[in-house]
Amino acid sequence: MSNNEFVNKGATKNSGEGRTLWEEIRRRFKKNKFAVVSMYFLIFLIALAIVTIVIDIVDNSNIYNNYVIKQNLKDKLREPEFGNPSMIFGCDEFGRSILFRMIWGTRYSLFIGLIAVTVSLITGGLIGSIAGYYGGKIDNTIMRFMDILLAIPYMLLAIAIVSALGPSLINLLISIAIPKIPSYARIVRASVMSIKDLEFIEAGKSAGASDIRTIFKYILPNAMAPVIVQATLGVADAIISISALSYLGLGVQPPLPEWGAMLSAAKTYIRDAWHITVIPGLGIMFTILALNIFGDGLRDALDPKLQH
Amino acid sequence: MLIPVLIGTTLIVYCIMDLTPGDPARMILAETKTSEENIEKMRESLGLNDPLLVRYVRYITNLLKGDWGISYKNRISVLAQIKEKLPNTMLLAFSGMVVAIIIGIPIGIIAAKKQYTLFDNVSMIGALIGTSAPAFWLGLLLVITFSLKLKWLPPAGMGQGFVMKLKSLILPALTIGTGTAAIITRMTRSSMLETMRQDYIDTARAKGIKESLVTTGHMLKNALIPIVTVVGLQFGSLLGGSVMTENVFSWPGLGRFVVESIKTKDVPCVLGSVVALCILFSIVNLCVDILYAFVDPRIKSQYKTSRRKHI
Amino acid sequence: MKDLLLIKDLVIHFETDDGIVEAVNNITLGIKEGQTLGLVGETGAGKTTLAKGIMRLIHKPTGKIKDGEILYKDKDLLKLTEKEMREIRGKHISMIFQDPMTSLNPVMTVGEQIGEVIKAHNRISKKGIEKRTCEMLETVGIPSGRAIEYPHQFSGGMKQRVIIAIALACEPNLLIADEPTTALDVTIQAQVLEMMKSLKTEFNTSMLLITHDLGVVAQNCDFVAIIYAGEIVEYGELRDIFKNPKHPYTIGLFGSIPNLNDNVKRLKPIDGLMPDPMSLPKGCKFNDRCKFAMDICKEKNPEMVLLNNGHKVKCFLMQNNI
Repeated sequence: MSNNEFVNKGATKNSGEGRTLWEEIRRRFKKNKFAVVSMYFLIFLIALAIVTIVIDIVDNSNIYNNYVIKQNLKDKLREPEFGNPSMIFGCDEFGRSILFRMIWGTRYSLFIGLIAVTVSLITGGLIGSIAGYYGGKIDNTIMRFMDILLAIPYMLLAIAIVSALGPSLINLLISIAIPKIPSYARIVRASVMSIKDLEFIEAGKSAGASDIRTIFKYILPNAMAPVIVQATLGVADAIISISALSYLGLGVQPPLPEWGAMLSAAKTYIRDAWHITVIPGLGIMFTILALNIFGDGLRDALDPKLQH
Repeated sequence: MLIPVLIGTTLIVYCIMDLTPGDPARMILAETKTSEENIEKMRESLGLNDPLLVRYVRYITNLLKGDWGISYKNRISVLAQIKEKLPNTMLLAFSGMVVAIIIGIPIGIIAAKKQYTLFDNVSMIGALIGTSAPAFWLGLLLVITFSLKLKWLPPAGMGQGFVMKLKSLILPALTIGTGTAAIITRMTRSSMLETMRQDYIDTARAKGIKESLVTTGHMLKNALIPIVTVVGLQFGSLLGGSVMTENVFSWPGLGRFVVESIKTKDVPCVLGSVVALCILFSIVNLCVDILYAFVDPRIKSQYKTSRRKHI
Repeated sequence: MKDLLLIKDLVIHFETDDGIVEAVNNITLGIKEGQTLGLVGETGAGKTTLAKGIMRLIHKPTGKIKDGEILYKDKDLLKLTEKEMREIRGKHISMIFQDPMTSLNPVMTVGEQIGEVIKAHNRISKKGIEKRTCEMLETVGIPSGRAIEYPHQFSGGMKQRVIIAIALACEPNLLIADEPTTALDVTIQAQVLEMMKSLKTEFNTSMLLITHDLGVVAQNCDFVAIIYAGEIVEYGELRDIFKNPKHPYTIGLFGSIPNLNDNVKRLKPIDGLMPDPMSLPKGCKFNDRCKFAMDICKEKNPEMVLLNNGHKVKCFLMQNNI
């Protein structure tokens, strides 16, 4: 019994008034104003990316070719001008509008990040479920292998893979997805192990449910919460890795307008053009910030027992 | 424990690098215009036609004998280059960790003791930004501010002489350490908050001892335990981060060497560097495990009782 | 007999986001020199808060001592500076907390933890501290060689003995024991209480023994105070309270103890629950559970009525002398 037996008594007043689980979670999430704002910002970015894809299909990549890719050397390194909308972020070293490039670049960071995390999650989740559910030797061998993967620093493994396979979007995806698989495997395994011995699983099995059915229908839904939080933060990690690799020239290749790739010119022109450094970086930072705040808010909403 | 992990990691890295397209024999003989026959003979002599596992074992055996291969590009021994650059990376990673601890732990402690105040809120926002901003971008910003605008510190390279080296270490250490500093701050704060709520803190205060003693002897001693774990785990990300930071600051370390070797498809160099860094990482993890036993007496006594059982 | 500690009209609140928790409401209570006062009440009645209030260890920033005085040897503890209060804690007034399993620092040896309190209040050498630590360990029945061991190497009962050693190391005048044996087995309970009793006699220490176990009270206390919803509802000498309980709550407490001699089929608990300290009722706090509740009980809070022999009861029934 710790200090505040009285404080805890008060907390029981608000909850348990006939709400469903989802409503409870939504209510707790909405309490965190920052998380809600972050969520809208992320939706905005995703919408932006989708809009650019639609535009490209509809106008046959016309805007893309003329504003995002085409070089206008007379506008080289033009500083930001607040009056002129397309020049609000200035131009890069090839005279291309940074605003346009940033907007068209949202798809790379976000979608590659999302897909990479999904791949890691599904693969890691499957591996973890099998390891947790069957236990014993299967569990041991699988987790040994996961430990070995974890023993290699993340960036190094990603770089090794990308270096072997060559820089392309697919290889980029593989190289950032694989090193994260052990993390998801561990989380899912832990959840599976804690649930599999509970009674309602026994009930399902005795009613004749097969192993696979048991895993999918009963165990996985209950393992979801920690995985979802990890995934959100994982997208943030993925975006940083994508921009880091692209900055090094190993990720998204020029002239594609990925934000990290836009920063690789920054070093060369660092003396003359601050805007090439600051602006794409701010874009990355705000996206990651939004993901982190959203992830924290999600974690608090899903498991309020974790106090700050 | 260490040996199987090392074998596993080197095997995985070797297999990945083996996927690299390109024929080493052809690359070595690229300058000379020889016949296909000679290239094939070279392949035989290099043992390139043997199965993967055989080649791997051969590689490891050579590694242990001290033969880490030769760079495709400039024919210099890989081991020699690693020996030259590894200390620089270790210096950078170590400095980054020092920066992270010096910034992170005090701020975390104060934020916990002054929970809900302005200091707490500002430090948490700072920590959030520290984890959200890409390290290499922060590095660039630091260069713009401190090297170009203020001209206090050099923007790149390592420099000669002790003072110059120290000066050129500051910005890279700050860059590589920021992410970890942010994590350590948050970790310290939450660990302290957790510890502050424990019953034994009440017992300690009921003794009438000074509050500073309560903080150091009772709170910190317990709060630091999970922090040691975090510090150890972070070392890996520091080694990975060295790749980026060394690139931004043109720091002559292994991280930059890896990236350059990749761009020139110099597989022995890439392989050698990655293996070296993995070994370093595993050794650090082992040290952290040992350190952990000293910090938490409950674990130390487990070791002692298990040893007694074997006698 | 003189009061060693006199609490006057103490009010302690916790100000939380969900509301104000009125934990301690105008408590007036005295502990006499060399005597043991048993403080009996249910969980959540405010016993621990009162105890921590005396030590001024109320959890900040939510906890606030709103009003009242705590007179120790005629000095108001609430007016002391933090530095002066530290001199009181551990040396004049000591406290033992509820759960021995979590009350000791896991990364410090028990010897160091005992030594800490000695060092804080005495100017003696390191050797002197060690000697005194070993003495205290022997006094509580633990071989002094175990001073270098860590808490996790001791059982629950022995941990509690270490905690008692810490509390008594500087021979305090008042020992506050918050449910010292609740977390222990019944057999260990008896041992620990026996030991506390003999130490108390040896050092002439007063004790505030907080418990919900009337059996423990019967064997160890000289005076008894019954606490309900942050108020003292009855107080008196042990005999008076046990032979002649007057407050309906006290009567209910004694009535709920099953008697081995009677052939009883069901337990007789007191119906209802203690009121939520965040929304205490107007009037007498016990009125909604009281068999004898009158109209006035709902409106006004009764005053403490002094019966003969120092027996005090806070009930309107007493005023009519029923």
